[in-house]
Amino acid sequence: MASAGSGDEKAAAAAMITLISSDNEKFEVTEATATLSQTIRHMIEDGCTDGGVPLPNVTSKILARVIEYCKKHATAAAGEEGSSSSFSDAAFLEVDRAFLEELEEFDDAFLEVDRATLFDLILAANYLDIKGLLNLTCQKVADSVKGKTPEQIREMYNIVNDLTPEEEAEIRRETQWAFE
Amino acid sequence: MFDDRISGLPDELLHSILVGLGSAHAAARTSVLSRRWRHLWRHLPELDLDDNPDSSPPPPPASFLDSVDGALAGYSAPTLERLSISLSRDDDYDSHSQIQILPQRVAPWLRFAAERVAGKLCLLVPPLTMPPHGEPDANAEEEAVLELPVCERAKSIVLCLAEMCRVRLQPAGSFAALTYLMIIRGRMEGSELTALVRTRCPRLRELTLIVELAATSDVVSLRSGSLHSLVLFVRNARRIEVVAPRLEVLEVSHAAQAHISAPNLAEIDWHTSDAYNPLHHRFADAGRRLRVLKVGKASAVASLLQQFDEVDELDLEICIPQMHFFPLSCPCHMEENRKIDGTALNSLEEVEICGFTDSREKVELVELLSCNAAILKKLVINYQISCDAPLTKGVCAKVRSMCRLNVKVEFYTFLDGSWVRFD
Repeated sequence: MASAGSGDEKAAAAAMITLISSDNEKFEVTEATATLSQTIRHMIEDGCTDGGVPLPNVTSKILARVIEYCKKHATAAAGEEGSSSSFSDAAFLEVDRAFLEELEEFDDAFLEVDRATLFDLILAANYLDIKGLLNLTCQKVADSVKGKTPEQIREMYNIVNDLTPEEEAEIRRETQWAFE
Repeated sequence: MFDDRISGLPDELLHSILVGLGSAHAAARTSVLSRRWRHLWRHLPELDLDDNPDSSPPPPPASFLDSVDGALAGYSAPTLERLSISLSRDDDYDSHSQIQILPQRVAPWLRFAAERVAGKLCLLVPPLTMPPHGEPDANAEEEAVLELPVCERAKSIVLCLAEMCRVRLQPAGSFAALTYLMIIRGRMEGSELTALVRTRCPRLRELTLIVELAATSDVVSLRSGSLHSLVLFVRNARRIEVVAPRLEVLEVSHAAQAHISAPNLAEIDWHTSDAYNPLHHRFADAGRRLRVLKVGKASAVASLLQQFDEVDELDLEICIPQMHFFPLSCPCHMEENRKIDGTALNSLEEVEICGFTDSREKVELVELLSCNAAILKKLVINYQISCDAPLTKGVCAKVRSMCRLNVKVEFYTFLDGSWVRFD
């Protein structure tokens, strides 16, 4: 048992990746966490992660949040593999459901950020190619826009209307079907 | 701090956000926000044109149809990953029942889809207004033809059409990328279905057909080297033939005669109103072992079961009559008719019973299972959803007392929309 344990530790230690934020802060993460990012996964596959992975587009503040997300969801992915059962066992389903609920709660809490952070997270998720995080953050913006009038959306996101009244009238005519 | 961060996002991210609105209407309304937003919606990778968006009340149907025309006319990208057009039918909503979605309205949408959709196409239009059931209507024979153009790039197509809609295929061309096809309602000719599957869909893996054949007593012959899953609810078919060497999952309804050659079949759902009859329904070269076998109420269970030696999961819909409804003279009351001899349940490990009540007959079923299944480990009982007598601890104790001690018995009741463990 002891040897198996230390073997696992070695494997885990070997699979640590260092991520370096734009403000030069270093973050040690497991490979499982890091590879939720397709960008980093490709770098690992190409063997260019020795000495750390510089991420010049991501600040330490945002990178810390992104890692928090990836850690949680990497555990979730590992859990899914582990719980595969040949039986549609009610107990297993209950565990899965509880786990998914917990994950959903985590995501909801994770999205409780100010707008500036939300946009930083979108850009980081896009750059790092983390599909789940990108969908989550884009959906958060979409939900905030749902059911709002154009005026309300402009106000909410400080969008300056640079259309002339004639242009706006023309657009409304073109897309009249959407306003009815 | 008061930057317009959202407008600074690259197009593809704004597209993701607009797709997240779940409504092409809402996405197109953002075109008046500013110059940056004006044309964004015209390039969205996915368009959802539904008449039941979150915003209520739903638009009147006539204007909804016009709005679909407007949206497709204004869209300008050459490729669309997903197009969904769905008009829900809400019987409480009067104007809906007045509208007739004629195929000539739908045909241009399909032509648009054939050119642009490279992923999923989903078209759900409600059935045409039908006369009340049982009243033969002179117009009922008047079909309207809808031509299904060849969608070369579409990977998945779901069409839910009007009953009277007669679907015809464009005479030539291949649905080269299509792996998933579902057609619900509408009429087709047997020979056209045969040709569609045999020569026009080389990559089709999953096919669901819930259609009526245009001519009664038509024959449908589905031959496919790629098909993995097949659901057939084809009315009016005199005979159904399936030759699909890779087919694993088969669900059949309405089959007066069927000849099925599918050596890799692993799951069968036989739900036909025509009871299974080994003289008319043949599994030519199916193996003797199945993963799942589901048999509906109307089917003759025994003769279908005899086709196979082994099944991992058996799903039976059975009718257990309550015997006090039958006169005492009925043979069902005779002791020898209530024994089930020679039923070997030697491999049975888990049983789930749905619609359980504590009627004597259903309790006897548990007793029977418990006596005959020597290695039974688990019994799950889902109590009948609407039952005058609710599940009690007493019933649980009674059922448990019939089972061996090492059988794990779980009870579930339906509460507030979901199944919950009772004890």
